[in-house]
Amino acid sequence: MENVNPRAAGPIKQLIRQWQLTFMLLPMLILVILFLYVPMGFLVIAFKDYNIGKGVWDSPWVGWAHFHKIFAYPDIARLIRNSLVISLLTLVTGFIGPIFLALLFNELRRGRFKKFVQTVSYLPHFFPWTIVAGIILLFFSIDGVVNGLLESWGASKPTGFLTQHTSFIQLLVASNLWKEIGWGTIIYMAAIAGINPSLYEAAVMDGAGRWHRLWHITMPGMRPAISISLIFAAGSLMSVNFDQIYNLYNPQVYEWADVIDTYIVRAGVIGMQYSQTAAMGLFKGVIGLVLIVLANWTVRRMTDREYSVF
Amino acid sequence: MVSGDTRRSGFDYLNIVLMALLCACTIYPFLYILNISLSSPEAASQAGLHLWPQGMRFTAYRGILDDRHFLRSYVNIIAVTAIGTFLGLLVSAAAAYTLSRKRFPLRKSILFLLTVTIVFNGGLIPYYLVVRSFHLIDTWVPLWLPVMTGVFNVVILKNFFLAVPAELEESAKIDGASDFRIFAGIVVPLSKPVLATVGLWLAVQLWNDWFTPYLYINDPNKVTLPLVLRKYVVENDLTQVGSFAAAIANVTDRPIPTQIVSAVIVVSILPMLIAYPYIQRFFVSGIVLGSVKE
Repeated sequence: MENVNPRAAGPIKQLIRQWQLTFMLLPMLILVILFLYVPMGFLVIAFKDYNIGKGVWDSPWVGWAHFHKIFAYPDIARLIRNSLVISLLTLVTGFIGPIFLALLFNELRRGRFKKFVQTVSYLPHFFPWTIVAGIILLFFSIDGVVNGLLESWGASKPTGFLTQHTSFIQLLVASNLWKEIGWGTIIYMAAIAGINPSLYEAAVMDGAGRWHRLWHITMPGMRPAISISLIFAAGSLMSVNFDQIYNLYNPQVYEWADVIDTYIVRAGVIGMQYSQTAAMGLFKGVIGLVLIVLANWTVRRMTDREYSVF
Repeated sequence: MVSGDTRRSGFDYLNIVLMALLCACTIYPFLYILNISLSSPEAASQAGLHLWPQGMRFTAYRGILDDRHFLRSYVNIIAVTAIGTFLGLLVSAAAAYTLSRKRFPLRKSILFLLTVTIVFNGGLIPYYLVVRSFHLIDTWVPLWLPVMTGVFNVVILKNFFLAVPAELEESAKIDGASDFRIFAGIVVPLSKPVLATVGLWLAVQLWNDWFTPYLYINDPNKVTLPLVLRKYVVENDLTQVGSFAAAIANVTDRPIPTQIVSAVIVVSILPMLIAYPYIQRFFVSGIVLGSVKE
């Protein structure tokens, strides 16, 4: 919030004189304070024993007790491990896939086919995970499409794709790639479109083949976009795709698929352990904040302050 | 960008095959679902690729049309999306206009205050408790809050408004126009493209949001489509739609659960599929818009 300073009288008078501008800002400002800043204040329940009857203010202080409890809790290591494993696998594939695809797009001749392929590849991005998960369940459940096909090709018994840890994680990675690979190419295609065409012409004159052009012109042109997305991927290491996991997982794969966010919803909202899950959320939020700020700082330094999210 | 050579090499053909495979992988699941929903129950229960509908039936769709619960959620999501897009755009554009005026005091500090929320927030549980303490459970307000507090959208709009020539504003000022008039009469008409882009983002976000209603809406009269869709498609709870479908069809022609799930998916994604070819370019340009800093 603004501190009161010697110049404060000036701005306040200004705010009143330009009341129409002030008025236009107010709805958003009030909503942000009520629903984004007040919840930050509510985080004190992580240090209290929150009781709905008593409210935030009157609930008793317990200091770091919830954090001690969380870290003594045997499942926390599993939740952190799962979050890291899933996000690492998703980030690596989700990072490399679109780069490859963008290079392949770039090798297509301009024309209807290229436009069509690109448009189709963006499509799954627009569907929510509820629908994509519904389709996956239809295809990969025990009596689903894939098992039906396997059976008609002679498989003796159905495979539990959704109930075995390894195949479940593979499904998470693959479905994320299926949904987002096309969409991820956009920033790279924009970077490629920014490359000066005369570079390619000169290279052709010098007798450079396709691979030389790709390696010496296209790739260097994409490099800033690549490094930026790599760093932001590293910055989002703590955040998994909640929508995807929550709509796909089942108790049989909790061992490897239950992550901090899904646990918070189950234990917090549904199980009503508000204080403990708020503490867990705070722990995760602080680590996420540090990672994102570091990532942003790195990108700013690397690109001479040209790019940054904030 | 193969401007030099005109002959197609082996790689070009391989690439075309790969791209065709990519399209097939993307389109096939949707095609499969459409075909299953339109097939006869016997054909739908057969394993196979189902590349076209076998035995054309619309019973699954008739079942859905008789499902008041589903129809209600469909009407609700249209209302929620329409109202939410309008509110979100109004609140964000108004704030963005103020923040784009250099003569407005405190604009830097307020912008900072807003930007902080992109990197840090209270997290799910405190937010949930705040929404509950305002008695907003079982109302549509929590569905609209994210679009009205989207700081990223405000930054995009603000950057666009900054580009509106200052001379236009000054001459309007000389004519005695107020800020309201300048905003409504000059800035908004000049910013139609960016407003359309942000509006579409908001609309898609609202249309697809399942988690907010999952947390805050229990009233069957207020549920929205993504929540009902989740119940039918993810939780496989077909008690409501299934009973109607069964009642309407004769015994031999009762659609199987897979068909009902498929039909529910088809009906839910239809508006998006129809709008997609027209709106996708707004999103593509939006990505580029978002990555350019002021």
